[in-house]
Amino acid sequence: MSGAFQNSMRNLFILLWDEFKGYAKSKAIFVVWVGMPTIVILMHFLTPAQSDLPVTMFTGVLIAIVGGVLASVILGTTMTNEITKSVYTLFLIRPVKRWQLIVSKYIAMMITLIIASFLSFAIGIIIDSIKFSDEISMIPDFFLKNIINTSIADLFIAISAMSVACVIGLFIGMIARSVAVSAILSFYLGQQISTLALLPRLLEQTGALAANIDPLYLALGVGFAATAVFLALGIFIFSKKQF
Amino acid sequence: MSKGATVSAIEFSHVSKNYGTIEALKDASFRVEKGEIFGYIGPNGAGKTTSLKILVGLISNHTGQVRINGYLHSENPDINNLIGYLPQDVGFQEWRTVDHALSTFGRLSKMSRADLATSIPEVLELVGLSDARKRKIKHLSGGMKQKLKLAQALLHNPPILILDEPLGGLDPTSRWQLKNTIQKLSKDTDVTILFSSHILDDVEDIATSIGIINRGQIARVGKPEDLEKELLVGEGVRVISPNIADKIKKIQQISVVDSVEIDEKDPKAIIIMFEKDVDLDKGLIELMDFFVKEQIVIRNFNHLKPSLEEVYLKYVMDGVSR
Repeated sequence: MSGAFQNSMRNLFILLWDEFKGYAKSKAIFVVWVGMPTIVILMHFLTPAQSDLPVTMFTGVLIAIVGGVLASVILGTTMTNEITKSVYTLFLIRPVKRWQLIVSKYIAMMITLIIASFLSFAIGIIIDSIKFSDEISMIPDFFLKNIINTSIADLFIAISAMSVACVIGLFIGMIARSVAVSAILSFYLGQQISTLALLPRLLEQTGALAANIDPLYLALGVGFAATAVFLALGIFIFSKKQF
Repeated sequence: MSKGATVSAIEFSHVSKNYGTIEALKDASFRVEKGEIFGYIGPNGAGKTTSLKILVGLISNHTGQVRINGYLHSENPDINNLIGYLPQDVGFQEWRTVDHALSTFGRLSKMSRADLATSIPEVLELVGLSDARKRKIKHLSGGMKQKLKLAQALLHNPPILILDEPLGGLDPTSRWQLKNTIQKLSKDTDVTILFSSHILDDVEDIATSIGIINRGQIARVGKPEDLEKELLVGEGVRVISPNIADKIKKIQQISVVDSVEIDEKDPKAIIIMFEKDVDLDKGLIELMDFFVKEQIVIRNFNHLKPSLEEVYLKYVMDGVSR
């Protein structure tokens, strides 16, 4: 492994760990970590009409929308605020590459969202295990097939959608001139564009998706492609910024 | 290029930079030798900050060459570790503590944790911020943030310091302390310091060399005393005395005196200029003899010499000349 690559990875890790620590200390991320699992619990108690349906069934869509919007707004406003205040100058006068600043922000936010998603699904699975304890005791496969497998697939789809929301937030944060504009645009566009990754699951549920297409893989593909495009665009715009 | 002992710390050579149709720098050139304190002065918008950003590599799309200790930015990827930079307008991620911010900047400058454990307390002590080490940046005053900016520039012990308006926004005590710190650093560590300012008194106090920039062009570079000598039209003194007014004609008759006139800025003072070929010490002795003989009461007595302000105004007001 070359020295330049090692240095690059070392700096990326320093930035990533720092960003993550920053997020972990922020009130907004506290809301994500505590709020998203709490919403899953509330879903169970506040929707008696759907009490015959597993909570985990809604968890994916719920965390993708709530987590995605929050992540998009947090990243958008943070980027705009830090660019406006010339925070990055003190990083860029050191052996730090511009792409490392963007990628570290993205990965750090994704880690916080994945933690929140796991917590939410774990809560959902616990609720469903209690709720469907009779079925599980009669048909043990019910738990594995209907709850665990669906939850894992939905978790990946949600992460895919949140990934798109994150890069939209970063992208808007770079082009917006004020924090207010950044907040509005990242709220609206983050929510709208990230639903691209949820479409395959919705199409499957409405029967509009061809039977030979796996909604999970399609959602992951769409999410990955949209993330790559917006992340690359963001890095390109950031590399042209004057500090 | 040879990297011998004669290499300048900073070599800014024929640099031009445009922002759209605005020419921020026009063929600007200057050198800063190792160990110098170079005061970079000019009016607002003259091109000082653009020059400094080019020096640290924040702006790369310019013409001309910039060498740091003999290296181009493109030749040495670690060149920024040779530089400590204090930008003019810069913010911090305010959720960090002072210690955390310095630790991150230090690690990104390839410092080990062991080095940071000794360097952070040292630089905080040097800039007078030791008490705020564990404080969050959002709770620091403007002056403290300015000190933190200096601390991050000094942290990795760079041989070259580039400071953009380091004394701006500081109260008189902090300004005095920071000027002392800069002088102490130069004296103790032989670090090369380039600092921009438009506060001429500060530049006059600490700079060993001066560059004047106006409208993107370097108007003059030199040692302060050399620049001041250029404006010197002759040696003279300014005297304030309650009983000198009626002696003006007599003073004019002293052989070493060329002219005597009342100071336009203060009618109680008179300005006595010596003949051009007269040595200052000889002129002063003759003048003192006259004052004693005539029992002239001296309230104030100054050697007249052009100030940096006059030098600055000459080059800035007259336009660019070499």
